[in-house]
Amino acid sequence: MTKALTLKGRDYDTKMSLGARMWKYRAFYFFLLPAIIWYAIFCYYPMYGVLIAFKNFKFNLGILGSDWVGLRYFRNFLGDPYFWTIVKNTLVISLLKLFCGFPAPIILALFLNEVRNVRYKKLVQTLSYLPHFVSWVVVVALLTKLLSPNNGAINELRQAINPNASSVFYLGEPGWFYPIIVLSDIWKNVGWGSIIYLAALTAIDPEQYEAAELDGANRWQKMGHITLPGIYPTIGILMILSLSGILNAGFDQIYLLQKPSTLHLSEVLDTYVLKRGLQQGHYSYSTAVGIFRSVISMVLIVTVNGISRRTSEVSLW
Amino acid sequence: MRKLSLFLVLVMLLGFSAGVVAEQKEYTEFTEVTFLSCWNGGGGGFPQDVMGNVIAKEIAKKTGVIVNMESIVTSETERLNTMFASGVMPDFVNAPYWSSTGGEGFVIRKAAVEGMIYDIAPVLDQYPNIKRLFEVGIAKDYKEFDVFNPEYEGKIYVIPQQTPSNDPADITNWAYGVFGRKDILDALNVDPKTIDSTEKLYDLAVQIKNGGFKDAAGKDVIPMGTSHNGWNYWGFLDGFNDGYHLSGYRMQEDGSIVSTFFMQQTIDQVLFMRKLVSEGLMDVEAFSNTDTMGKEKMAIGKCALFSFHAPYLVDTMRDTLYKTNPEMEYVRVGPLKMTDGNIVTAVEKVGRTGSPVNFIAESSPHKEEVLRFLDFINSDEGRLLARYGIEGEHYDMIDGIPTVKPELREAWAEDSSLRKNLGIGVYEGFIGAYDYDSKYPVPDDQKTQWDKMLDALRADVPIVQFDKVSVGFLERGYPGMEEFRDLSSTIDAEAERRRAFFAATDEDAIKIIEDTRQRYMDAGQQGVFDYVKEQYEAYPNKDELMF
Repeated sequence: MTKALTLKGRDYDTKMSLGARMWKYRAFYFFLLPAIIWYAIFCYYPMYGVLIAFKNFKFNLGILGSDWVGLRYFRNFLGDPYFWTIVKNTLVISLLKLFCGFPAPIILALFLNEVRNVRYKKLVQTLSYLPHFVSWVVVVALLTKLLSPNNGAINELRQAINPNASSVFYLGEPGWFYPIIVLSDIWKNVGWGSIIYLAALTAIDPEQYEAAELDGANRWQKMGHITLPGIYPTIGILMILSLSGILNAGFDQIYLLQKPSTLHLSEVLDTYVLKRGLQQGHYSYSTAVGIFRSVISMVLIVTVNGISRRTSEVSLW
Repeated sequence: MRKLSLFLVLVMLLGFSAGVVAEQKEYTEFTEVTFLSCWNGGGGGFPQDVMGNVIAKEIAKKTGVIVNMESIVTSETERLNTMFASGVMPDFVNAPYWSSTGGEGFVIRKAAVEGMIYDIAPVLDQYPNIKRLFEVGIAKDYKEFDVFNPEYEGKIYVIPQQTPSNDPADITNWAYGVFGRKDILDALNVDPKTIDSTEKLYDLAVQIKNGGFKDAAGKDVIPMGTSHNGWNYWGFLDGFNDGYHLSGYRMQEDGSIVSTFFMQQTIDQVLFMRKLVSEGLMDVEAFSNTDTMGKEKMAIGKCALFSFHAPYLVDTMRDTLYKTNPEMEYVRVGPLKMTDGNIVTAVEKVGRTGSPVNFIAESSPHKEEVLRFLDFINSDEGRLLARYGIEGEHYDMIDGIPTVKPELREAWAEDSSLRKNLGIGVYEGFIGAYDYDSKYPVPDDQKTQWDKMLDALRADVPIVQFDKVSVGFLERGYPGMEEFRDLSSTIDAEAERRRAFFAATDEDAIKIIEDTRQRYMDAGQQGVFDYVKEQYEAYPNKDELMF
């Protein structure tokens, strides 16, 4: 049976083969080409490299030519004395960032949405976006200077207020590690993260606000009953994506902020892979760690997406 | 008449040799070879124009080779690994080769065995100046176990560099130690030579802390500190060492052999450093100082006591603190005495153990050119050119000693980059079996104030030399070594040690060290110890061995 489909006034004949249709609409497929090439080169082609996790890698034989060793490196990782510490650290930092960092751009977007002075709103937006463009290297250099126990601005200020106050090595104190990691992450990313919510906010029908005003709703009520529900799908999608990255605690920031005294808190999967893989040359081992992380992430995203689809009808697919 | 004959013969000989020199081939076509100095920050020693400086041009004329240099600003091991794994290699590389069992040396050995490095054995006889580097300046155990590693099966992959001649005068004395700000020591009325024990060092740090001394910026000084990444905090802990040794192994009273990490001295060192950190005597940032941070602190005399080596002290301070605040000169504190009463100083074998090495990529199309360059630069002519420049232009031979022209000497003392940018001194890194100091000792009247300052700092800690084989080399044949390394490779004893410095209590610090020891044991460390013991007992001439 043939069925004529109509889309914006144009007829599509399903009897046409895929190839014929592709040729007919080749201009549109051509637009896809750059993305396909990009994925092929940078995402799919390098994937053969994961084989190294199952091989005893030799420089001269390369990945494909080296001998197979099965799951040896996975077993080594699971039996590694640092395994649980690293997994725990990764989860703790990621969850802290998620719980503290995830709502921050939503809150900022909601507040920015309420600002009526356009110039002030733009100024705040610009200032909040700027840190996103500063590399972690610069941010950590600034933090190191500001928080230094040797004439750092924060310690100077404390001692100006209380001359008897002793210097605090903020970056080296385990008790300060999590607050610094989370706050600096929020500072750097909150503005950028709010853009997508601000975009979602523009899609809310203004008539809803007008109707609410006629019903006597105040600004908090409008925010709670119209604005927030209006961006729930966006929040849901971003939450699913964030959960999939739960084992990605943020390499640059953590690596640069690591100190000997906080190593037991700051060694995460990413930093471990760098140290064991690149610095010590255990490529197979660190690739096994990377695969471990990717598999967990994939399981998480599939699970969370499924739960979300069933409970809130928000899902990635 | 006899004298006249002799004179004529000499004139003829000189004329002949001059003719030979005049007939030396001068190249007009040049080949560019690529070179990687695989040393973190090694590019700091390069001239601004690496291919067009005066010495590079002179070398090109003599060899037809122009060396295009590149360096790294990352970990040496990391770069070696990525280079070999990617297969993208320059024509030749200079890298650390402290041993063939760990760190950079392990990676080089793996690459050599796996065919990434060119075997020079078949052509070595054609390059007598390179061949000499395997005969002079390397210790016998280093030569047997590392340079000619048994796994190489007679092939030669690495060319030792920056090794001394057999004359002790040519051994570089790095003169490590603790250096104190003289104005502070004077104010405390402390003779720095009397600080010869860990206890006295601690007391001095406490006095400094309570003294209210200021740095050049007017802020409080920190009693003790280091340069980048904690280098070299060991200087404050050397008083716990148990004497002169060549290896990290020790024989216990019960006859067993262990490494020092498993001995009480490690705990003592960790607890002492923890005490310094927790009492505010040690710069808590020292262990994570960047190079810039370390030099900033040095430039303002931030720490009353610094620990590193003397050339670093003089080179860094001469253009900074000693210009702005000459009264803040640093002098040697101690030297400290070890538990056996000997002073802490450098222990050397006859010949160097562990050295920088050059190696040529198997994939290089310019192997012959690289060898020609290395052979030339290691010739007498090349050595003179590398260190002193061009005769008549940069130096004159006076009484057989190359003497830098006075006007250049003054200018270079004022600005050391002038010499470097000419390329003078830059190519010394390609040379081994140094004989400069024994062959051309610098007369006192030609020494700069910085040379004299360095001499004085070195005089306090003369090198102690032993012609022995290190017990450390006995572990080499252990059949379970690969498995042990595989299982223990993720244990970072140094990181754990540093973590212990910041532990909340002594008990916590001890636990960190004990946990780390246990991890090594779980990975099979005892098997290594037992094997070394077996080898030690089976060694035919124990007098030749040294722990």
